[in-house]
Amino acid sequence: MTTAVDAQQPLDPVLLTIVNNSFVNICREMGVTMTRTAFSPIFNEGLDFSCVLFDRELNMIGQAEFCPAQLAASIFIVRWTVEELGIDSFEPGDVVLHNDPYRGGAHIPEHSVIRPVFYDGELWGFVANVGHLAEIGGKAVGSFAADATEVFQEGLRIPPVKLVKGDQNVMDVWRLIMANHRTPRNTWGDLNAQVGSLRVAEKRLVELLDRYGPELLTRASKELMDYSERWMRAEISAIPDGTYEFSDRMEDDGVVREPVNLKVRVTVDGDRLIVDWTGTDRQVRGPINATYGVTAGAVYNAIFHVTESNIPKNSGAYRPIDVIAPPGTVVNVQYPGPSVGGNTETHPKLADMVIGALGQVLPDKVAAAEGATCCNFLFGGTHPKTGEYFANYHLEGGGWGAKSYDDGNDATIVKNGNCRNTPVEVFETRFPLITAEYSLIEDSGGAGRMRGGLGTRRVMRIAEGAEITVSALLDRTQPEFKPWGLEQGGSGGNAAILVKRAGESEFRTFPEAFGTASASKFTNIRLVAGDEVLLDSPGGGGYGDPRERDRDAVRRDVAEGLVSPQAAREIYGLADSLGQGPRNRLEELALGARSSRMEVQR
Amino acid sequence: MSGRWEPIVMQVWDTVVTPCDCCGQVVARRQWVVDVDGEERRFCGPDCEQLYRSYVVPARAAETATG
Amino acid sequence: MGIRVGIDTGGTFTDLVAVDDRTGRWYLAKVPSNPKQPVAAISAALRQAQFDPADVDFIVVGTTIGINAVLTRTGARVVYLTTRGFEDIPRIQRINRKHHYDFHWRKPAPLAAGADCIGIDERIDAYGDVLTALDPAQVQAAVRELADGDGAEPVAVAICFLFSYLEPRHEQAAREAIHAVAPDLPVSLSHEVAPIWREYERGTAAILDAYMKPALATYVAGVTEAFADQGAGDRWSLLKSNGGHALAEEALRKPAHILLSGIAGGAIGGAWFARQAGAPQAIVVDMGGTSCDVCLVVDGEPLFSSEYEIEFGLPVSVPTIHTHTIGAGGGSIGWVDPGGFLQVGPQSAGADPGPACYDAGGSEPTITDANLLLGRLDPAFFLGGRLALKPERSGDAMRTLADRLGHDEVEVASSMIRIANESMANAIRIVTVEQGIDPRDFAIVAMGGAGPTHACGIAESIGIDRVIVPPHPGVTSAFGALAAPVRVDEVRSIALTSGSLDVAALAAQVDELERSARAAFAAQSPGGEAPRVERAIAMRYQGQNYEQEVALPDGALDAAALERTFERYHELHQEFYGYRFDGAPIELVRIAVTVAGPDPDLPPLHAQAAEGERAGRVADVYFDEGGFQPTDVIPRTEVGEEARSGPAIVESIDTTVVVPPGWTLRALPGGVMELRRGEAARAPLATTATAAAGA
Repeated sequence: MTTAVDAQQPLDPVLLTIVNNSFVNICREMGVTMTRTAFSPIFNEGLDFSCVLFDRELNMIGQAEFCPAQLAASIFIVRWTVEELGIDSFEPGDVVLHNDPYRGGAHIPEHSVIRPVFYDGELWGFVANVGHLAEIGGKAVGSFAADATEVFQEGLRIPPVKLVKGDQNVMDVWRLIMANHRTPRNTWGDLNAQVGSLRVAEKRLVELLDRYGPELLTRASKELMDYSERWMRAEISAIPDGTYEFSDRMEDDGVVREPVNLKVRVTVDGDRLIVDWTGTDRQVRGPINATYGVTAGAVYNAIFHVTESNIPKNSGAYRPIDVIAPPGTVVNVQYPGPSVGGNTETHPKLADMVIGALGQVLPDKVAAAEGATCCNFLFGGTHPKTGEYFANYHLEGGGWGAKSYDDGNDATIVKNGNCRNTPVEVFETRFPLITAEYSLIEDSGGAGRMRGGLGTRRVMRIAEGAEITVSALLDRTQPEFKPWGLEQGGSGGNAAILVKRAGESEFRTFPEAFGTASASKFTNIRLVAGDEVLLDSPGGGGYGDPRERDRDAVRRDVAEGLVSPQAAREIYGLADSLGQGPRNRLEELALGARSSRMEVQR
Repeated sequence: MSGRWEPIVMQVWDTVVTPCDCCGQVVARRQWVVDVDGEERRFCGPDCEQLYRSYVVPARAAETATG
Repeated sequence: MGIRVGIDTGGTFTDLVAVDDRTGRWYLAKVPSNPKQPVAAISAALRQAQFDPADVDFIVVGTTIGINAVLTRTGARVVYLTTRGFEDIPRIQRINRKHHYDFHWRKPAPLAAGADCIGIDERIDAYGDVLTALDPAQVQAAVRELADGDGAEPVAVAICFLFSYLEPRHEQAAREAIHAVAPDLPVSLSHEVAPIWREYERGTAAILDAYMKPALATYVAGVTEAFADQGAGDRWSLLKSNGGHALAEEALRKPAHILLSGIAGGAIGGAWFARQAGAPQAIVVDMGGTSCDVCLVVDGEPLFSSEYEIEFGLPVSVPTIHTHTIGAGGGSIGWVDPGGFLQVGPQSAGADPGPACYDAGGSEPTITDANLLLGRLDPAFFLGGRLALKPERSGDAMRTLADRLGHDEVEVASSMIRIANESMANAIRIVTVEQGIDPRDFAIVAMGGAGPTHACGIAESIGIDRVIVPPHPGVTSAFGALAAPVRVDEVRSIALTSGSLDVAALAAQVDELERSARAAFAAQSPGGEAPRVERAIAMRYQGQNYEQEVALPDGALDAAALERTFERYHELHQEFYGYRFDGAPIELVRIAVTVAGPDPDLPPLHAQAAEGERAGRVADVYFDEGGFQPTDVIPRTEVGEEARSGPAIVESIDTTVVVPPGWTLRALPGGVMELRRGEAARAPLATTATAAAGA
């Protein structure tokens, strides 16, 4: 079938390019199949999953980049699971499932499925994917128990088990899982989508094996990994040697209202990197702890931002990078510590810290801090018009940090994900809430020679006859915890989650209104018809001195309603006399229209 | 090096995994046990022992010196 | 009966294809386009075709004027009126990113300036109920500046109120109010342009529509005048993105629907030749200088979609032919990445400076240079001899790569071709997987200047064993314009669930949409032909976010017909994804009605002999299997119905067809050329470095 290949000669680079593209394509096809069939919107709209190919030695040889959060998690999940169970326990047609955060997962809603691929009776490798299920049991609806203190409260934890054996569903396991999730039909749909896409991947991999033969493909994978390693080492060598430190904090952990310290030291030593998180606080009571998978993922995410991201993402690319995540700290939570928030709230901060550290010597390759919170807002209830139970995981895009050469994007998903927002029309069709506003927040972009991106404001009112239970997991709502700027750039605006009870006239924080421990992390608050929720996402940090911003750019910012005339004068130093700006456009057109924009005390 | 491999034996009621003392990764099947400066350390392999000796030990020493 | 004309105005060339119904005679013309004066090229094409314009019955024009205005940001100033509180939606967009790990990418700037996005106090809820009534005076105040303007700058208004697809009355009232004070101000209403849910997508469609209105109006006026001046009559149509055509004045009312006019022609043409060749399942590959457009033909018809994006983040949510564009073309540049590997594209040398062999200042090696070095192109006959190619320049350019890679120029050229073919094959695989299709059962229809050169290579990568080459692949888009039927697509978003829906109400909505579509069709079809009507409902299992369109059975929509439709949905889901959820609620999200006229009757189009066409000869051409080898080079007109084996090169003015060893070629009776791969199409490729010279 394959022609004899001289074992001494390196393989034809064109062949390697083709094989690499084929691996990536298989993973992409896996992903496409999943998006088309999965039920959880966070899965399919959110693209919150990843797909990987492994060789027999448990190296990752191919990956499709749907969700950067799982960049690392997928490597460790497959490797540690196969090591633990033993490679011989995998038989044709098997699918192993687990969602254990301590075993490489990013956080408990993410479920990984792994399938061995046999060829001519021999195990050649594995295909796997990881997907976020929107509802997994636990103390809060919607998979984000924002004030959990133990993994048991977060949801059903599944250690590595066989979900499918010899292509037959192990129904006992399925039934056990569905019995512990609040929307079992969705679980059935999502896990089927994951398993189905594994079959697609296996089929394609077998076709590839038919085409090239197993020995050649194995050799090609090894050479591709060496190629990625060489390339990554070349990129690292180009970074000046040295030790670079960076610190940041979470405002609280959801249970104890005290900041949490994060510390990283990045050592560049020739062609390798050591990213050491020693000095970070011990793991905390609330669920903003990061698992090892999250921390390693954040490190790789950061490094791909500042190096050539076309490097094929396989195990070779990660070899020159050592991550030290001391067990029992916030960056490597151990049993039974909670971690559900670490993936969305901690990962982007960790990534920005590594970026910020390297920014000291790579000023044109980095950006100031992004919002770094997804503004996770979860709610559920029974729809008054249909009597149907609903549950939803809602998130927001925030501003991204400015760079030395350009502004940051407004309203964009955090760098460890790639979700889309839910359109207001879709939202209101499904859920009994009316949206009063969804707009950019003026002045929330960190001021600078280059401006940070703006955050958004969303105001929702519970509809008549409805009652919902809400939870939230945000960060950066307190004034001392804004997204940081670089080189004298200003901070981005804060996030916020506030409530105005029916009949009241002011928005208040949740601790004020309901006595929650944290203003940004809480679960199971009941809201009724007429109550309103305000959800702000943060802006990105600025870069450089705002007084050096190009004057025409400042004028444009004002004309577009991104920067207020007052900020233009006072912070950017613009001398022009400016009108009201377009936020009051109709008023400028001499109409006495009432404005329904909320004035919020900040 | 006087390290030795020690298997990790999980009882059926063990639901907890073991992390490496240096890098923090999960050690699935066997640990590399070695004496470092009088204390017994458990790593995921000799590579991590190397990293520990060449990077971690000097870094901690530097910190206690300045800290 | 007279002459029917199809014209395609592309970026580089304007093509014309016409047929005389009385005699069956075909006319072809190709002139350079002039983006600054698009109408001039149309006149020039008419003149070149050399038929009597007085005999012209009908003209269909495919144009890129819409897409170009958007890509070059030269459309009108748009004032965007929307529900108060949501003025920033065009800027917020969908919050996702084009690439990971990328600090550079910026979200596309909206086509309406922030200062021109104005919130109006009005509100309709998810049930179509009015929560806040509209005040027409407020709307009039919002456009006062435009109304008072001097008309020097092209301006237009786009209106998108929340839930207008359910309850359009506020948008309608707003337009009335505007026209009461400014009767000539163009206004686009979102519920008319794209009656779908998702406010960003619908609002963007309305903004796009307004953006293009003034330019399109000027264009239509100019073309109408040009046709009249040449005596070609005053009735002509524009090709729409959905592959149908509409009378020019009609198309003016909804410019958003002609945005992809230029691409639709290729798909229609490709589908027509696929059907003619007896290949109802086909992949149309239209490869030009910079990019390659891929469309799918299923059961003889191009596939449609409502999710086309002009660029990442800028969607056009009107029915369009489903096209996937890959940045791979004749001008794609070969380069070496930091890891030492050869890559091809997506950077392109374009037409200027163009490939190195154009000798116009280009120094990077391109796909065209590679083909030239491999002996597949004749430097004296490129574009029929109009452009003399310089192989020495190609050699120089290729040498820089060759030195870096440690191979010779021929190896590098061959590798470039393989990589380019493989990436096109990969893109095709993704596009077909998205539709649940196995591409190996399909034929490739090769079009564009470079399509026929690469088709067999791409086919081999995918495992396809049949390639179809139309008689004039370079002008198939113009042919498509001619072959397009009258076609009206109407869609409407709905939000119903299988368990709890009122069948009679649904049936009424479907009927209403059908009536509206039929009326629009009738207005376009003076001949009164009976149309083909297809009704479908897009649905999905509750909780999923991707819907599939399921055709409704003919006849009245009653409970039994609906049950049959649901069963069909379960079957389709099983087919595509391997499982079905009996008992799960199904969400119905969209009604789609298509009313299409019959495909025009066209006599067979045979390859026509061209001036300067050269006689057959033998040349040394490089193939992976066997290296340089003596190969027959045949003019297209000499390909007969008897099969002959490759390797061979088939030459014509607009393209070169490469037939590798192991393939056979023959002409089919209708004029199409068919290439077939020998036995067992799925044999694996040779795997060692082709390098005879040794890697």
